[in-house]
Amino acid sequence: MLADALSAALIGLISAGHCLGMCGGLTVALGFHSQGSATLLAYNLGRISTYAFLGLLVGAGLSWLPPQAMPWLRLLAAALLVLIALYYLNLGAWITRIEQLALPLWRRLQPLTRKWLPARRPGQAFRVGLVWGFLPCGLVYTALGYAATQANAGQSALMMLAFGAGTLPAMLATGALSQHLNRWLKRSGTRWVIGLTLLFFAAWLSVQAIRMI
Amino acid sequence: MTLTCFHCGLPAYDARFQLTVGEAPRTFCCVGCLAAAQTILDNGLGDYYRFHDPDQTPAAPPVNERDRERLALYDRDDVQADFVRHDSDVERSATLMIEGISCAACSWLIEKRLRQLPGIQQAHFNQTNHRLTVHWNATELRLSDVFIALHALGYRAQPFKADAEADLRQKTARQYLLRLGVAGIGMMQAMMNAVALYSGNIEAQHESWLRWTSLVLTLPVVIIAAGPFVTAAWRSLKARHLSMDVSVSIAILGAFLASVWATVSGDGEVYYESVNMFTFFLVLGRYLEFRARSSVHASGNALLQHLPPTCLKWTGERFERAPVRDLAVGDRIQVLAGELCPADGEVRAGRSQFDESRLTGEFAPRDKVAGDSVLAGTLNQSQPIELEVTRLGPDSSASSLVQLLERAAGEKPRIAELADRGSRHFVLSTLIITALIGLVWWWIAPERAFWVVISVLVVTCPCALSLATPTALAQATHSLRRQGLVVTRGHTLDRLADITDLAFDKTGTLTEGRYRLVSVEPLAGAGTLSLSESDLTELAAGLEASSEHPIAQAFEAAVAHGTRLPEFSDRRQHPSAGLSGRFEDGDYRLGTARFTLDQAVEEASDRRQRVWLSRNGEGLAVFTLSDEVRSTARTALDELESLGLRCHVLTGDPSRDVDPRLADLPLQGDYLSGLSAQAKLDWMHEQQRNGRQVAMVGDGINDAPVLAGAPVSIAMSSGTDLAKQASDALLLNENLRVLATAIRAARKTRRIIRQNLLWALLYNGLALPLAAAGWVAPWQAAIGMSLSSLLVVGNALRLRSF
Repeated sequence: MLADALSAALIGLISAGHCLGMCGGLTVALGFHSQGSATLLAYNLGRISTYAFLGLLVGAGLSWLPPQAMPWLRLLAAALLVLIALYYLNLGAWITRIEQLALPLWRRLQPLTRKWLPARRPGQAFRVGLVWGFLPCGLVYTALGYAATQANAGQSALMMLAFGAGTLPAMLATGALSQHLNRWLKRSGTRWVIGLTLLFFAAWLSVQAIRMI
Repeated sequence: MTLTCFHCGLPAYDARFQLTVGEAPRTFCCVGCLAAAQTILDNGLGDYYRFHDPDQTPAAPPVNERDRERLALYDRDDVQADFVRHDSDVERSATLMIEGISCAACSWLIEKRLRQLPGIQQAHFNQTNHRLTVHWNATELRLSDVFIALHALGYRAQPFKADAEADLRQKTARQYLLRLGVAGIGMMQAMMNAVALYSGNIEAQHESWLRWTSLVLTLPVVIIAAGPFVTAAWRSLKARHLSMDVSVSIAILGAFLASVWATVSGDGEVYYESVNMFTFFLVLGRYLEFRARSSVHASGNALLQHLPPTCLKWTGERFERAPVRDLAVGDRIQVLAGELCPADGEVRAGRSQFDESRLTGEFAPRDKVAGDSVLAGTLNQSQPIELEVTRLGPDSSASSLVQLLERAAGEKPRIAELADRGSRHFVLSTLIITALIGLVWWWIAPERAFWVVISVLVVTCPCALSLATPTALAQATHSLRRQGLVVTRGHTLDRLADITDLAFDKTGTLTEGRYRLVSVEPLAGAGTLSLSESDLTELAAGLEASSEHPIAQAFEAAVAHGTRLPEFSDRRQHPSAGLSGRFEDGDYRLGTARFTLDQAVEEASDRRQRVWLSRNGEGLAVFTLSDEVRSTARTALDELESLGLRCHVLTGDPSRDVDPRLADLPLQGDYLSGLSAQAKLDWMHEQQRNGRQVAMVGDGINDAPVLAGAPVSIAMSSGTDLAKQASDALLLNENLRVLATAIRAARKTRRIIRQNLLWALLYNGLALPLAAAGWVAPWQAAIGMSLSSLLVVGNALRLRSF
């Protein structure tokens, strides 16, 4: 369990490039960075709370599965990891098709944010973060797939929490640091390292799954 | 082929995700980026894409030549002298005020964009006060580049002139926050302890661990958060003076040291949670008081800090941009629409509307035409307008206002002095009482003596007593200032609460004070000299030239702009009568019939304002003027009446009957006309002898002696000549209803101060015996004291509205 949680955190950490590009731009535009660290932190806490909640749902939803199903869950998670790795390696964007699946849900949720934008207080930012946690994101689904392997409400939620915590450093980086980070992440070398690391995780999961069968 | 995501700049594989941004369809890499862009656009933040590259680094739109030229002025040494600091040979730093912060993303954008400039060493934007601090290398970058970069982003930057006092206030505020934070962490320790203790049986080694962690957590609280109390106490002791800090320090240090001893020796009681709570609430109370006090200063200084550094100055041929510091009184300047007026001035050409809200609290724009005065720090809203500079820098209205506010803050009203003295005596008596109680307990039960002493010290801390008054006064002053009433003396609020009567001057107070020339009726003398109506008006205007009486402005407005007025010699003002002066071979007089004419004339009975012009005692013309009653007069009088005040009108105008324009005003008090300044003063004294407290409301210039003699004087001031004002309060906008608000505020202030003092005394009187009896543990004492002083401060903060 601890190893799984750490891996989830690591996935969050190395996929920072994706976070910076999409969510980072959003937080800049919505001004969370400029409102001070409390607002930014509140937004991110909101986002991570949603992740944990999703983990809880998935974990609870799958807890009835018989033990025999566990290896297949791991294989599914591994597949998702492969997809995201391929995305990083510039080899294919199938992951974005999976993202699209959740689009109808997002269309319903997005209007909610209007009520709290522009967010001036941490409380509002937190609520915006709660909604933004539902943003269709391949990375989140991958992590969710991974969390599903626990098939237990508490543990799945914990893994999503770990994943969310992993994304924090990149999201909280402000000023010059994030500029450097961004430039560094865009290098193809970096992307290769990230892609290969994700593939390694996928392989590790698959090996576990095969051993269990 | 490479498609890139419009939002994040990463490669997009195909054109599946599209959204129209602005006019053009854009491609996105994934649903997430598309949704992010959608949200940004939905929130009206589309500018984000204009000013940012996809990797979130700001992009720079072009700046036109005219603006470049204007901003290049900031490279001049004389302009920079005011606000640029030379940190070393090549390093410079400056603080700029940024206007136009509309969306929250602005500060991020500003910092990012500036950091891209070569030679910028540091750029920090403070979101709360809109100040940007930049450090740059003068060999690599010109200051104008910074301004151009900001301009390109759509922000207006202005140099921020360092104000030592404001800086100090900010530093103090930061220190308070640090102390609060540290003490807050200490509070968490207190809670942790409480939880641990209430959870029940703790083993001995756990308890020891708990004590040691508490010690570690409390140490910074004592040093950082409570340190200033100790140093203040030490200072006051050296000055042979007992302040509240003395008893506070004894309590905190005593409890802390005893706890440390108990922790180290493993024997005895610890009081860490009491130390923490006591410190936290003390700092919180002081911080709230500090904030209330400093808000008054901040609102005044904001005016000065916003004055522009450059302006358009007439060079004889055209208007050129010049540093404001080069201006002199008498210079002709142009203020463009959207610019702040850099100095007090008088309109010479053009007409426009000015937003004076920063000065007066009144948001409706004011029309300004030739002859009107325009004040430094007010905003030109519609048209370019030409002004002649009348007052500059420290003489300007804005500076005077700040000085007045500071004078008021520096003076302590009677009630505050009383409370101060009270709390001083109080400290001494508590210390003595505490010592006695300690001795008694030492004799009865030595093991309890120590904590009883601590409890007594804490519980009787006269924090509430000393916080009560300053907080209330500061909050009330600040709230009134925002409505346009400037309290200029420390005693004003105190005395306003006692007021039973209000005496109004008529002209310029109940009426608008702007006369308009309605008709000119030539008399026989004009025929013999063959003077036309406009000649007569010019004569009158010449005689009134540079007079500040409202009637003068009517004549000035009536003559065509640029007309050469006859120049009178030996011009003299006769209070309540008129003006006299010599021109060519005649003695001219302008004013009442009695004053100007040799033979008595029958005064018309319709009571319109009439002014006679005479030459050597022979009537030349009768001018009819009108001046309207202020629109707020009626409701204001109604409101004042409902507060139980009698309103009187004292006017120097000679007509004996009630002015028909005032006839339908709900006046309960006297209507006295034809009064000289001396007569008004006598009336005032008579009222005082009858036990009535009269507040005089006048226009501030003509009524100066009466205002000075009244218990409370309020001057209606359009903001000009603030420095000359001797009154206790200034009403900067024309809304007479603010007077009722002021009375309400003063009464509420007094009520709240009394409530606070009463509470403080009751609480201390009740808590002291309990603590002395040993029924109050130190932590309970800390809570009691803190709640008491927070209650007092919270009560004072109610003065935000009336």
